[in-house]
Amino acid sequence: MKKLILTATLLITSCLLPAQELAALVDDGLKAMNENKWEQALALNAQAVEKYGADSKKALEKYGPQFGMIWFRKGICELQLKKFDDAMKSFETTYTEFPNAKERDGNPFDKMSLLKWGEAAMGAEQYQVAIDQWKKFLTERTAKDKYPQGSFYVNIAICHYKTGEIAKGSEFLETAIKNKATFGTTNTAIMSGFQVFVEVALQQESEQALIDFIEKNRGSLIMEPFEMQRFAKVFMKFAGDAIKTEKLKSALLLYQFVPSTQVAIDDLTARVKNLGKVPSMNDGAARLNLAQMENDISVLKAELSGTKSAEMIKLMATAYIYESQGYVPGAYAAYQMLERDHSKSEKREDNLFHLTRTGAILGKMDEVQKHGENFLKLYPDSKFKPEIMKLILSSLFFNGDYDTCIQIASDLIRNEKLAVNTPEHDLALFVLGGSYFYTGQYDLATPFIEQHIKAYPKSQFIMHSEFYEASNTYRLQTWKKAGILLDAFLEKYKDSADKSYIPLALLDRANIHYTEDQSDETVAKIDRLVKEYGETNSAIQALNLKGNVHESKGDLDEAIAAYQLSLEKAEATSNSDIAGESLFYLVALLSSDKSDEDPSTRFPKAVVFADKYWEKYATGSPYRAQLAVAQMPAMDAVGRGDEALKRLQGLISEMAKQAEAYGLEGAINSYTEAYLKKHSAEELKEHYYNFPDVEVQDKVARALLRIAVIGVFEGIMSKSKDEGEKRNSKAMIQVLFQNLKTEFNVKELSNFILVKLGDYLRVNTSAPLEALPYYNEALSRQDQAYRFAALLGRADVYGNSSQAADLAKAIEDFERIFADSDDKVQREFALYRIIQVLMAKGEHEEVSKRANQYLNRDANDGAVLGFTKFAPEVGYMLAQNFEKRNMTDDAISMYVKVWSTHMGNIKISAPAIYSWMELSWKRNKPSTDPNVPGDRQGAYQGGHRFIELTGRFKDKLTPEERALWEKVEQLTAKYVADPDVKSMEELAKERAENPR
Amino acid sequence: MKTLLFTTLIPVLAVSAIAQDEPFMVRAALVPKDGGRNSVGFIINANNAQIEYRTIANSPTTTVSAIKDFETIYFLEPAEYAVALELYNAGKYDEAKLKFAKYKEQSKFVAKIPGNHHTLSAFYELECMRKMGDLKGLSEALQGFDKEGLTREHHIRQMDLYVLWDAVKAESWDRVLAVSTERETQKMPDYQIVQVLYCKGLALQKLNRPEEAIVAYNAAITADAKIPADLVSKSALNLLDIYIKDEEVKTAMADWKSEREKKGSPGYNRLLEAGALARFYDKFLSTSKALPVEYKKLLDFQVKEEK
Repeated sequence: MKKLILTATLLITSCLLPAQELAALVDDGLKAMNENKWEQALALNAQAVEKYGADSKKALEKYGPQFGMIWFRKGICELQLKKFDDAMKSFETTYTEFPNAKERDGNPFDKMSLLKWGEAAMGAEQYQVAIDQWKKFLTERTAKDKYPQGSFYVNIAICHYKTGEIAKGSEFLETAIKNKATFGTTNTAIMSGFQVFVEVALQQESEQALIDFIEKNRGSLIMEPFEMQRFAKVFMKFAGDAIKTEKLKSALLLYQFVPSTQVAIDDLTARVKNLGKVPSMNDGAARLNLAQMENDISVLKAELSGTKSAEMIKLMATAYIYESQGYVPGAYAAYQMLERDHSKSEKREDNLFHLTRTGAILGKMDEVQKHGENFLKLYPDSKFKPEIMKLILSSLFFNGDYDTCIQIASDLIRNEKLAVNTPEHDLALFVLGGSYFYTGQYDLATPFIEQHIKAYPKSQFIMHSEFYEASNTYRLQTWKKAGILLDAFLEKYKDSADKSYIPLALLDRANIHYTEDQSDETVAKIDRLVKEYGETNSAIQALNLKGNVHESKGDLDEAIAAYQLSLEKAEATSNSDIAGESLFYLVALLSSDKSDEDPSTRFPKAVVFADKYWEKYATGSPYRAQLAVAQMPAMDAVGRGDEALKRLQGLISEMAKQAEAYGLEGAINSYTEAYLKKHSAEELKEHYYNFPDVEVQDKVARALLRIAVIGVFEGIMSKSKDEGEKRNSKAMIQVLFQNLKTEFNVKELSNFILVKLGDYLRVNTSAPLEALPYYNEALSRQDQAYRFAALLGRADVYGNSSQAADLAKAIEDFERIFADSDDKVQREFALYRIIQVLMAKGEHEEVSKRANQYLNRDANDGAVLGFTKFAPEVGYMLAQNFEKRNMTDDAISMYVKVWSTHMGNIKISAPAIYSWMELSWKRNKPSTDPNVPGDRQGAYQGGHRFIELTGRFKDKLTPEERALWEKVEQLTAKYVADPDVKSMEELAKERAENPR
Repeated sequence: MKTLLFTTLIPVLAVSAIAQDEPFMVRAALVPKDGGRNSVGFIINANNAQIEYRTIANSPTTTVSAIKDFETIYFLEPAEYAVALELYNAGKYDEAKLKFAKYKEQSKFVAKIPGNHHTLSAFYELECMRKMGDLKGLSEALQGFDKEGLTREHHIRQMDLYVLWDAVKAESWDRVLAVSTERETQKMPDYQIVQVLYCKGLALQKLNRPEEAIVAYNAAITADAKIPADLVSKSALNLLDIYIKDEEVKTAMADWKSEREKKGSPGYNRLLEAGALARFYDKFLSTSKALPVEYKKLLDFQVKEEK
């Protein structure tokens, strides 16, 4: 252009000599243009055309077509100053008003003005005008009209893109690309055109055209990294825009135009080094500028070590794309890389959150916890904090890491770190209760589960919590309440789509029915379970329970069939635990004497099952000790008794190392029984004090072994007829118990030993309160073993207190036992002691109610408990209760019932008849029937009869009993001394004199 | 600048110049140290001390100058090299390799001068072989490759990564695993980290450690965030291969939509992952290689909720 202008200057100045002023204007204008003083140049050129060419026709006539050059220059100035509309007008004037003609030429720009007109129109965003002018230019131009083809084709491509003619635009752009070398198309020009294409294609939903173009031309479009990196930000933006509009393939394709930052730095660095001090040069289609390249290196290095490098953004985009397409492992890997390699990212908070989130989706629990905790440490106030906590907790929980759940949720709930009535609090509360439940900490679970159900009845976890509540109650052996809760659960969720808990609830409910001796209901639940959820573990396990039911009813063939079916299904589903359980039941049944089957066939069968158990299912099985015990008779019978005993001994040694060795006690007892067949009690004591592989630190086992020794000596003491042996045994027992008490810390003892020790202290010493720490320790544990025995011992101690608070505690414990223990003996004792304590508290009406409950034998009057053991004491208390309430008739009636029914029980019958005699004497009701004496006569006669009937045992009575008996004797003597009372001799004489 | 006219000092250069009627020329911007005029020279011969060049392409006169007398010898991009690079960028590695090899051979006389396109061509020839999976060819070509001429850090590092590919060629999977594990934590450009992760995945897969291989391949498919990306595609296909051979996935496929289907089981979840990846491949990565027929059945395994 510069060259053309200079040539024109010569023409103008030489041809316009008459118009000196015009020539001066043109020359000055041209000079200003050459000096890039565009405003000044425009003013001079504008003045020239206004003054001398306002009328184009006259100007053409006067100066010829060459006057058009001034318009052309004016247009160039306007183009430079981005006055595109004016420029268009100027170029239009050049072309239309000053055309060359055959007879008259001189305007070298008459066709070039079309090219510039198009450029001005493009600047004015009149793309169609530009296209039209350029087409015209291509048609009308002559060989002398040289133009930069590269930029021309790029520009015409851009204008087509802008007018929505994408295909046409791409045609022109490809022409520019294909002829890059010939046209001298610069890389920058190609990129400019391509960028417009991308922008328009993304806006106009022409994604496929873009994809096709890129795939066809990518070899040419990708430039060397030093140059490509200059366009990186634009392409990153386009890729981002593409992602936003879900044009994901376009986004990924566009990322290939963003070079790795390090690669770009390396390329720039190598080229800068090669350039030396050369400030700039052209290299093919590329322009090298040293200063710019050095600046680019600084910028890229800063980006690479900064917070938002292209690498970070691309990885984030990749993560999004993978996840949006459903491939979460890809997203997770990208977030991992972001966290590992780009922890400086300004988006780290988001990235770390997503890493934790996607990790949770993939069930990568360790990672979720690690990243989640790291997140909370780094961003304690993040908006994602609640979500992170939820992710950590719910992931940990549903993947079974309950201990960690307890750690986290306990801190959140107990330290009130979460606002109530929020989803986070809902989840944490649920998780805490559920985690305690699943870790067998049922006591701890209860309050949280209940709180969750109460506070969040519409929680998404409500079904879980309601099941936990019911099942947790069952595991706490609160049978009745558990039964109600399980029934309610089964009813509420009978139509629920999610039936995952139904089989579990059915199994729990069946177990409760079984505990409560409701065999029909048990079987009904099991049958439903097997029918509706036959493939579940619960159903397979229920078959063992069904076997238990049949076994308890004596239907041994059915029991064996049920156990075998359970075994078969468990083996088919590789459920070792249930298979082991089935085998245990089979061995226990066949090895016992329950079956009528001949031992010669029964024991070998038991041994086959036992061998299978030890071979395949013993490892980790909770039935090892029980099965080792159960198999003893069968193994003995087939001549493998020593082997069985050795296994038992080995098991005891092995279990001695375990903190909670369930079945150890039974194993020791069986071993004791077998050992004593060939050894003395003293030898047993020595053997047990030095049991093989039981070491000093195995305190539980050692204590159990000593308890076993105590048991042996207790047996000798109770059975021996040798007083010396009895005394020695008693002394030995005392020593052993004392040793146990002083040698073992309560924390080290099993529940069984705690209860045993507590019972010993409670029953056999003068300091029953000493027993409380043992019972309390047992009751403080999650281990439910011997819970009711401990409760009973504790309640008994409190029940003997004179303090009202202690009595209240006693009642509470006894009531629990009476309601929920599955041991009838315990329940009977509890009710008896409740009545005693109520008596002590003076709650007479309640005593009456509970005593009648105990004594009731008529189903019409309520449940018949079938209790008999403490009937004399209860009857006596009831009578006393009537007496205290001045219900004399009832008291007399009850006392007579007691002493007449339990006459041999002097402790009860003696005071009962004594009170009866006194009350009758006091009431002094005369006789209305000649065959029935009046009260006073009757009192005497009753006393006399009692003395007469029990007198023969007088020598055998304890001093206490004897004192009671003698009181009756004395009262009888006192009454007979009354003149109104006839002695038995007198009565006999009367009868003799007046026979009927 | 002093023009060296003593041919006896540079007998090799002189002989080669005479031997050819129209010698192969390498264009370079020449900036002398003595303040002389910058020019474009057409180098027809060189060693590590001198260059022999024409100042006009078709001039019979040549000048021999000591390299140390130049402030800058900047090799301008040769058209042959540009064409080869364009083919390389277009993924036409076989054609590109031939062009690079040809230019490498033609321009070997400038091999000792930094920034030359002979070394770059030799480098990209190696890369073509790597990308085509011609590891034997790569290994052989490396024997004669002079890495001294490489001026870009990532090119030099690629030489180290060829050790990894050599181990892949030898099927020394323990060695591949050891080297890739060592390298994976190092900072390197995306096209290189994807090589390390792909090789690691491959080693683990060959060592029958599929779960770890899945982790490595997943990292590989995210390391190079663009398409096309050869090793991303290969990693994805290898992932699909692992998934489809997984017994639990096979069971989940057999049980799909049946009563035996176990939603949420590991096999079921992995089947969904495999389905998603197969669809991803089909949608984004299948330009150069369609989803193999044995994996097409995976396309159907998706849950309704999935987008």
